[in-house]
Amino acid sequence: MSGQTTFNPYSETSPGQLPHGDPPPNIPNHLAKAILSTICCCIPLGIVAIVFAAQVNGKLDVGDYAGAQKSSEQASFWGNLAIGLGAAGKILVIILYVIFVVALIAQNQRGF
Amino acid sequence: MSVSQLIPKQRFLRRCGFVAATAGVACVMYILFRMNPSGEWQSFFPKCIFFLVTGLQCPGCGCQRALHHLFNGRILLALQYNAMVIITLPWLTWEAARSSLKFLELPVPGFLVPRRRLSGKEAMSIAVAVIAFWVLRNIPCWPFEWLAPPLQVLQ
Repeated sequence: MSGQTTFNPYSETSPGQLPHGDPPPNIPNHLAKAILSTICCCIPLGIVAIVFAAQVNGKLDVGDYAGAQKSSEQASFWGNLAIGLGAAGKILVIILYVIFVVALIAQNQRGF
Repeated sequence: MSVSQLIPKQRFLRRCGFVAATAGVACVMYILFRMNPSGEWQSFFPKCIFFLVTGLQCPGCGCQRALHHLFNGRILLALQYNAMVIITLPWLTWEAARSSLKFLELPVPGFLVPRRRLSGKEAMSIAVAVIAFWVLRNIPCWPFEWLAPPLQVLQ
């Protein structure tokens, strides 16, 4: 790409300087991720993610693009955290269960 | 077409991570297809931590059993175990496909691009619906008990 060296005023629009009347920027609302995070059993964080994700489109409707961007980032962060903690918790429970079963078997074998 | 923001090493790591995650999801789906989470191997399936602590159903409770019944073609039973997961599954799959293609910087086919943006009220009503589902499925009387997994005899 030679676009890095030559100045092209029509190639990119910087998100900070949107003129009035431009189509709104494409800001993802991480609603699917937020719902997935509530399903992943890490409840308080999933609720936070859902609330932030639901704010994004309302702010886009009003034209508050900076606020929408902020809510989008917050929703993504809390969604990632909730999914990560939920998955880690489940894996931990499985590992603890396996250790428990192995210990039980070992104890039974000593008893014989 | 946007210019790639990633150095080749980052892109390689992302692709490796994606392949590993896809393999993990495929394994989980196969296990859920073959084994009933409330059957013989019940103890080895992860339990909902929220349910263990509070005794209340979370919005995701029952989704392992629901997916097991869905994969085996029993859609009505799956809907009873967790209606929300089964209903939102096509949309969640669509979003997951689109966001993973964007994550890997691969071209996104046309049917994965959203036609229009949800309005603020629509997005908020989806969020309210999820929270309402969570509250309503914990009410132990007639119309709402269809939202929660049926009671089972614990072993």
